[in-house]
Amino acid sequence: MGKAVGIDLGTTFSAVAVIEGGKPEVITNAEGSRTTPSVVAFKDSGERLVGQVAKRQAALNPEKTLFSVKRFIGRQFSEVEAERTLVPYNVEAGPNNAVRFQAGDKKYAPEEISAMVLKKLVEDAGKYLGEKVTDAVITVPAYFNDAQRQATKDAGKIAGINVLRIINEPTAASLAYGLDKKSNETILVFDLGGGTFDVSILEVGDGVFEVKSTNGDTHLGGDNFDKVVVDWLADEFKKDQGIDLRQDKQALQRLIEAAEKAKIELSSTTETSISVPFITAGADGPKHLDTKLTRAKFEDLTHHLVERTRQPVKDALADAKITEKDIDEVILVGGSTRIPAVKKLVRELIGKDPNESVNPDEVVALGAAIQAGVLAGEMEDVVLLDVTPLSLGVETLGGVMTKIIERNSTIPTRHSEVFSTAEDNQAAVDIHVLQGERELAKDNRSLGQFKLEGIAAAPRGLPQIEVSFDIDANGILKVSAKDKGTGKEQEITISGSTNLDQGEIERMVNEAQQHGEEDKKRRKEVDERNEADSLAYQVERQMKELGDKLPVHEKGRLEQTLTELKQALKDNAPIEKIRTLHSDLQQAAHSLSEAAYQQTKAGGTGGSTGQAAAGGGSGDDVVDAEYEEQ
Amino acid sequence: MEETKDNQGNNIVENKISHALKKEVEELRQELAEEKNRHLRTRADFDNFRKRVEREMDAKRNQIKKEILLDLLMFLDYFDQAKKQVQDPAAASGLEIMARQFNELLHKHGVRPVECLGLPFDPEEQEGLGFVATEQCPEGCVAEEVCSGYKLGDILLKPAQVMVAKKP
Repeated sequence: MGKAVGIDLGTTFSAVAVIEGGKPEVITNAEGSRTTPSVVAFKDSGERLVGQVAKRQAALNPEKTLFSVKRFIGRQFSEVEAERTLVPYNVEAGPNNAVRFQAGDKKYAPEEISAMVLKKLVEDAGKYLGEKVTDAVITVPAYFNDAQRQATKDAGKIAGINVLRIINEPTAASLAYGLDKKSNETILVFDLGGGTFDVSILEVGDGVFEVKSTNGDTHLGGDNFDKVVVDWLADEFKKDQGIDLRQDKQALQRLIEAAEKAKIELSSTTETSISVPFITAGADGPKHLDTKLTRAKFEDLTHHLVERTRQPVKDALADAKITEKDIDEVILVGGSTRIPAVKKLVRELIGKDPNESVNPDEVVALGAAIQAGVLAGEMEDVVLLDVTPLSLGVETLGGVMTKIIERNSTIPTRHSEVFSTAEDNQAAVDIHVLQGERELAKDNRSLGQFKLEGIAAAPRGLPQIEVSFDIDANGILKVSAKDKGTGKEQEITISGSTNLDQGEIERMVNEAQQHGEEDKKRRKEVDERNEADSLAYQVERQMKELGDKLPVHEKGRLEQTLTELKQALKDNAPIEKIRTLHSDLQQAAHSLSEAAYQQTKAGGTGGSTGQAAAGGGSGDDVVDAEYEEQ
Repeated sequence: MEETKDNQGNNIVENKISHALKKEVEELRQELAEEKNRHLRTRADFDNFRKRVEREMDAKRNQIKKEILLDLLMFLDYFDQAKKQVQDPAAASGLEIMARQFNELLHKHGVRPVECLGLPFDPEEQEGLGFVATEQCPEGCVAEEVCSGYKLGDILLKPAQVMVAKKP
């Protein structure tokens, strides 16, 4: 069996989603879009176009471009009188009073056209997933009758899809919000799409959804809002300039684009400027459209449209024989529910904040994918993987915490990092295992401590000590340290690193956030001190080797700065002082680098210290965070 | 204690134990096979996931580029309109220079205009706004470009909005 997907077969747009790793994801189509226009067109040559391409040629080929087919599917010809007059293509009566579209010399059933849309959706999904899509859950409006559901299922069959189930759009939206896990709740789904408005009231109990009532307006959607803005802009322009932009196709195109952009912007800002320079030319020269539209004005202009959603909600409540107080959850579906005035009306009608965390354009497809995943058994296979609730790491030079495993990493997992020594001839390192989000070791939780001994005598920074953190599926943490030079190894096993109670985890994460700024500052200080210390060490070593090659006065200056810096570090002097001395020493050490360079050029000896005076960083993959011997 | 033997003289208790062990081995084998299978599936899933993440990163980069370029393309359109309308020769040539530089900049970033005038209408790259009656151009071909379209490599940034020729 191939993959099972969820399909939101919409009136104007459709979308597909799939379960991956236990989570639903929307699939982009071949053109790279997350939604596909539900449009099918036939060229004179008989070639078939589906989706965006079909939409682009609609104005040129109105009689053979079929859209809004969902308004006809599974219905009798005698039932669609009103719809028939609203579309530019021919809708005819077929056998048994069925609906047929006449496109060119061919007749098509609505199921066939929907099948073409479905076929494109699953084919694109297959390409995206790299495996054939065979099964699907398809959504339909809650008010669809048996004939409409059967016809939608048939469309799937014609497209070569095994339709696992037909589910209601509001049910799918509820699934996407995980509301199937609730018991005895009443949900109101408010769906304002591109061209239709649906309100549904559902009751959920034991994972089963029951539709209590539906209502809506079959010809209300985002397109209406765009048109209002276009008309307002054109009217204003006409008042000012005496030119009707609607008569100029070039100007009208620009106007439509500007209006849609303004509508979208007004969902996040309270004022937007609409500017189209050189939109047209009058007798007295170029004309520009340059105006502002406030959200207040937009709401004023579209008030009548928003108000059209009020009565259907009231009727739906009345039909379900409940009041707004009985509603436990409100879900917003459809792009137009992003309009603040729409949200406000929903809040006013129900007295509750709606669920809107899932993209309203995608929520139905995502829910359908969840249902598909459950039916195809893909959800069972999902092993619930745990995560580490807090970061894990070790204490390093200067009392800071170096994280090895970041919080929220999925377990089982293993990470390792290579550290070194902080002193010459350091024979042992202390591994202090920490848990938490704070920068300084002392602010975090200590999980355990052990010592790795027997490190071969070597200058600081040379030994390579690999510290590995390994958390198994049960949350048991094993920390090991291995001296790569001698092969000596030590380890510690800590259980219960993951079973903190939620409250404690939250406290630790919150604390880290609260102290974030000061922690970062302190961490930076420690890092700076470490860098200064490292520089002092390197300069000192080079002095031993190359000091004699330096002019006396330079050598004196270098020695003095070095002593001052070392003393300052020892005294834990204020960071400003360390910083000044650090940069002084860096300056002074240039002469050392020069001397080293001269020597390399002259005899090629002493090359091993060539990079030493560069300050701070060690350059290779040895992490410059070192252990201090205790 | 008396030993229980069957007809063939085999020890029934031993038989029972061996049977139970066989059953357990069988069960464990099956469990192992299932786990192996699950492990392989996870590995494969992960491998596919990794490949797709790479692809998606590319797509995301292109998407971001596309969004920025789309915002900028608006100005190209303004320049086009301005050039048509500005009468003053000095201003017009200034505009011309700005438009040219802007074009060169977009060209450098891989943006190419959709060629359409005189070509047969193609909804893959063009959006048809309507027909114009003309003899200038063969029927079904693009007679007028209302708004220019642009591509970024194979990606269509914005379809050209066109009027298509029809016999008068």
